[in-house]
Amino acid sequence: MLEIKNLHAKVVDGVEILKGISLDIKPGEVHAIMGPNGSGKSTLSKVVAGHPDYEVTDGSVELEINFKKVDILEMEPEERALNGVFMAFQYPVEIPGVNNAMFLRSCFNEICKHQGVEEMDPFDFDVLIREKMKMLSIDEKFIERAVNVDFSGGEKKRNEILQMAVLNPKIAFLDETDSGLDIDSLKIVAEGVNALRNEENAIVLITHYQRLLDYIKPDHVHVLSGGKITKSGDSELALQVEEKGYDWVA
Amino acid sequence: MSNTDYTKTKQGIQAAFGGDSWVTTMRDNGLARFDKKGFPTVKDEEWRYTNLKMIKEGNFIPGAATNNADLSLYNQVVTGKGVEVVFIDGHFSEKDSSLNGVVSGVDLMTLASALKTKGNEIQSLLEHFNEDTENPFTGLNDAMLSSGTCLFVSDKVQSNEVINIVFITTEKAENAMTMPRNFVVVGQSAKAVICETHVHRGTRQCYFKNTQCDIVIGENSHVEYYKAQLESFGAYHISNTRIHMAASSHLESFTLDLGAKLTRNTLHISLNGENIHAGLDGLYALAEDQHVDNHSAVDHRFPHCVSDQLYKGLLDGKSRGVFNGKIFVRQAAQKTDAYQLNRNVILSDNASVDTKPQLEINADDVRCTHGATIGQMSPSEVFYLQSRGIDKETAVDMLAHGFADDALDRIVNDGVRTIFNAYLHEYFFDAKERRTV
Repeated sequence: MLEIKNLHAKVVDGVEILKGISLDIKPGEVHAIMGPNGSGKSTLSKVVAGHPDYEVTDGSVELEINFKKVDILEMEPEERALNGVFMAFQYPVEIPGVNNAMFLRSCFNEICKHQGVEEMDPFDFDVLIREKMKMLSIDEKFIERAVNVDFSGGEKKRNEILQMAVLNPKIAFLDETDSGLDIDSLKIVAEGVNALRNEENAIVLITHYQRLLDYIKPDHVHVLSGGKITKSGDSELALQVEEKGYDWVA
Repeated sequence: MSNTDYTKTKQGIQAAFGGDSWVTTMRDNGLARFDKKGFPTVKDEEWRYTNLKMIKEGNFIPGAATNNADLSLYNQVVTGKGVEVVFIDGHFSEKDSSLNGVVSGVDLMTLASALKTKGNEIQSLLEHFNEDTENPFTGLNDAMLSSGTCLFVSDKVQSNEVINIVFITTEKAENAMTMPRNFVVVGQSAKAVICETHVHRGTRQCYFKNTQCDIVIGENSHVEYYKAQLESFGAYHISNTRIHMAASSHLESFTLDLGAKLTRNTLHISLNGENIHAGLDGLYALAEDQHVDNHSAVDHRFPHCVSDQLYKGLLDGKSRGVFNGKIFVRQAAQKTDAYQLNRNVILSDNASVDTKPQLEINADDVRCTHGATIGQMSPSEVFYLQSRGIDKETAVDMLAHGFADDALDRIVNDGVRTIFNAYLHEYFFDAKERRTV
């Protein structure tokens, strides 16, 4: 579904962060990427999403679109999104003046347009979004609020998962979604993510701590260090890292 | 090179409108002050970024009265509902105005009437601004004193309904110059809501507007002052507002600049007592070769006052924004809270902004913050929208809407906010032919 081959990327006008990452993600899988601070975990998801702060210097990211492998690094960020790539931001951006519901409906309809499917009218969309909000225990008052404005850290993270629930991506990178969340919020987010898992999509969890993986069980765990994947394994690996620390892996 | 003969114009007005000796003296002194200073040049620090050459060299004649003007283009502004004082090409239009909806205790009249019947009140108002007569355009406005409105709100009177003062320039007034004057006196523990609109529709004709508004706010009173500048894209709009606030009073002021070729707004607010709250906000959205210059000064003279200023600008085409916000905190003004923020988003390669906060703080126990930003739309905000499937152009547009809405949210009055939002869309967002982005 998504194959990352020897990906090298640097900060624009800056240092190289990703030094040859290769990853093969199949439909239905959940991958966890763990690593110490500065290892390049967030950079990986941003580069895949097309963040302007980074420049790819080598390698490819191939997404299977209609049975064909397409290198998405050539695509604009919005094109990648329309083809089913989603990133839940570690630090979601506040957008004053842009209404949460209206924003989501615009995005949803862009995807519909791209897929040649009929757009949803505001009334039907309202039903859809309330259903998803209920599932994620997000208060209905957030429908009318500006995107992420005056949301607490936890609320912002849950809003990211709400977007994921509404936009239904093929592959979702969750960038340190668990950071800053208390245990209750964590459980809710995990339940929401688990409810969205199916045989056709895939999820990549970028996380520093093992805690999230108690709730969202990964099929594969990779340790990222110094811009490279230094070890891969199953969910057991996460427990070992938790117990022994990242130095052990290195 | 032609120059308007301001002396002759003043004499014409004097002959046509006359007035008691204090009025005549006011006109004479005003012209003398204007003559002495003349049109400011770019060598004058206060006018460094705003070149007035085109106005100085213009050939303007006073706006003529029109009977039965066709106001069909102005339905949005002259609605026939509520309180509306309407001026057409500088002349009060009784048939298009409605001054009757005011509550008891509110005295709303034309300047022409007030000069005859409220001489003492006006002179008393003017005394509050004796120290603020440097601006040559105030002198010029004094010299041409003849047309405008006077609003007197008595103690304890709560006037909640918007009092609309509308200055329309028609297509028949090419090269006209009009110099309206508005006087507002709000007593103690009273409230007034004023919306001043300057508008021209249909052409890009050139004309010169030099407007002045003087407001005195009594103790414990609340005033909302809104101004919409929707002049012809070929016109020059010079505006001066002086506001004197007494202890425990509250001001919410919002200036919207969408029209004119060249605009200069000068806003002076003097806080003359403790526990005053002054909010000064504004939004300008410019395209093509428009130039808007907002100069303001807030004078904290007593302790425990708050001033809060947010001016935002959207600049497209080759437009130019200028912002200079002064905050004076006198030695006695301890526990002052003064906030100032000017945020500008540049939407094209050739737009530019000059912004300068100026703080003169002479008290030692104060909290003053100021900030100015100029830049393109935040790349991380644009990326966030793109990452959800929205193309870059639409993303920038969405963010520009959000940026402007954030400013308009400062408008307390729902009706004014709605109509100002409509103007913003009409003149800027929906005017695709004016936009490069």
